[in-house]
Amino acid sequence: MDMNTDLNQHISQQFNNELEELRNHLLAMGGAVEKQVSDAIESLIQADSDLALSVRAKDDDVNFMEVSIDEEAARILARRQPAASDLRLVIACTKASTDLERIGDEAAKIARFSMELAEHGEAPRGYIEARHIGNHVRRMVQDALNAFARFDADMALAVAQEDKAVDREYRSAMRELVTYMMEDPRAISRVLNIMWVLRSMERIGDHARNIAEYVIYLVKGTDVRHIGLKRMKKEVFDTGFPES
Amino acid sequence: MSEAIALNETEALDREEHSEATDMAQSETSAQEKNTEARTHGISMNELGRGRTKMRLEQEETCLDIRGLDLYYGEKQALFGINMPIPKKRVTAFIGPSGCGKSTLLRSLNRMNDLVDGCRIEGGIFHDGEDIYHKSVDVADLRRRVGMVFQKPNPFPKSIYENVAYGLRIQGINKKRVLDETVEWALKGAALWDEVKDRLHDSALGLSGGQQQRLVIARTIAVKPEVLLLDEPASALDPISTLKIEELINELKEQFTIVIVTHNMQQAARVSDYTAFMYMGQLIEFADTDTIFTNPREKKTEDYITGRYG
Repeated sequence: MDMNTDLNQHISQQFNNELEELRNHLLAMGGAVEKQVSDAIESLIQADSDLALSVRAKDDDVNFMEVSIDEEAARILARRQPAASDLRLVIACTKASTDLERIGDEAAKIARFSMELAEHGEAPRGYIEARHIGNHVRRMVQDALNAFARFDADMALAVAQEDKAVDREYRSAMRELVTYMMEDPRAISRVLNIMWVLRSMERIGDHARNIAEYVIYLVKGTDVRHIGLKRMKKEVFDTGFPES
Repeated sequence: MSEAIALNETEALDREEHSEATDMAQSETSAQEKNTEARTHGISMNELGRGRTKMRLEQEETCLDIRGLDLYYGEKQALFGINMPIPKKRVTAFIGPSGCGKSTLLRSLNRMNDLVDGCRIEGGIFHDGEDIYHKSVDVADLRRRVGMVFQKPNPFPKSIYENVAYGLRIQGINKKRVLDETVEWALKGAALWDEVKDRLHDSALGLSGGQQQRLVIARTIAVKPEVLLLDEPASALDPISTLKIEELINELKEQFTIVIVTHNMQQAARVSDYTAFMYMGQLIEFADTDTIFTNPREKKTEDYITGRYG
């Protein structure tokens, strides 16, 4: 059946609190990561190396959050033996925390390249694409987290579908930049930096899609990884019944 | 891209060589499988042991078939229209809150309810196509084929050996060699042999609770029943004895159809292949255990197994 959206119904109040806390910590981590992504994009566009530096420094906080969420989840598994939607919540939280941490890493990478670009000369091209794709994936991360907070499978599905668009934008930006490098080989090292940035952004989109997939698993109880968008859509709309 | 393909090919080659060494026939089938299934990963998921075949009720052979069973204790109705097949050589668990009728249902499977005054049933239970509530059925014979173990171990005040041999002696088997063999087989089957083989003729009452429960299971399987009914078999035991009983259930299901009633949901999750959730005399949901515990269909089931208010 569909996810029981009210966590506050367990006979054990303590168990309620633990699950609620786990979810809140994950969402807090999500908020921090989202900020990291938007700061990283901002630092690139504004060529602001101070901001980039702070993004890189804050990555440690994100890493720490991942570890503490996993610890919490392990404790709940050991002590409560959760079942059904509770079990899926715990699994989804640990998996999502891994992807959020990776998003944080990618944000730190973007920040590193934006420092490079700010200090050793800006790239002649690619900023428009970077801003566009950056905003796109930032919105995806935001939507994936909102879907998690509201147990909203439809919204999660929309995020997964968005990822296709990001991939397309990424490919066309790549093609354009490669053409530019062939025309002007002197700019290669600077253009390469912006290509790495785009690559990180594309990866952030992939991680957001993963989180959306965990939301669908959490809400619908079916694992929709690696099955393609069409079947994913079917799983989301075909009520809450399991595959069998 | 071409690198990745080359890697896949060498892996496939490695695997084929490996399986050729072990078993020719196997390598042929695995090669066939490889061709048919779409390869999305560098390694085949099946060979990682992740593609565990899911249990499906439709594919099971039915041992006991409960059809439209209503049960009354006097005026009060205790079971309402229960329909379920009990699959053969599988472990089926009944779970549910106290008073939901799971023990009643279990008892009706070998007509233990006949002993209760004012108990009557409608509908039927079919064992190999034969209604066990039919007038012509010999109840003693039915209970030999459908054995039962209760919550509290109830060994007879006799020796360990005589406890296990009891059922055979009732059947008129008194050949020492047959008795010896069966007692040893049953005690080994109940994972008790190593602990008691040197004191078979001591009183059974000197055993610990866990050992007594396993002795009772040995006594039950000694007459080679087809079905084993377990009514909370581990509820009075410590965790280690409980684990031994659970391990035993896992071994016994190769030979017997097992039905277990338990209050302990984790136990049901650990030992059973199929789980039935009952509530207020009704069968709410019956499906393979993985489904019940990860993604149940009914809200009532979900609420019960996650420990929420009903």
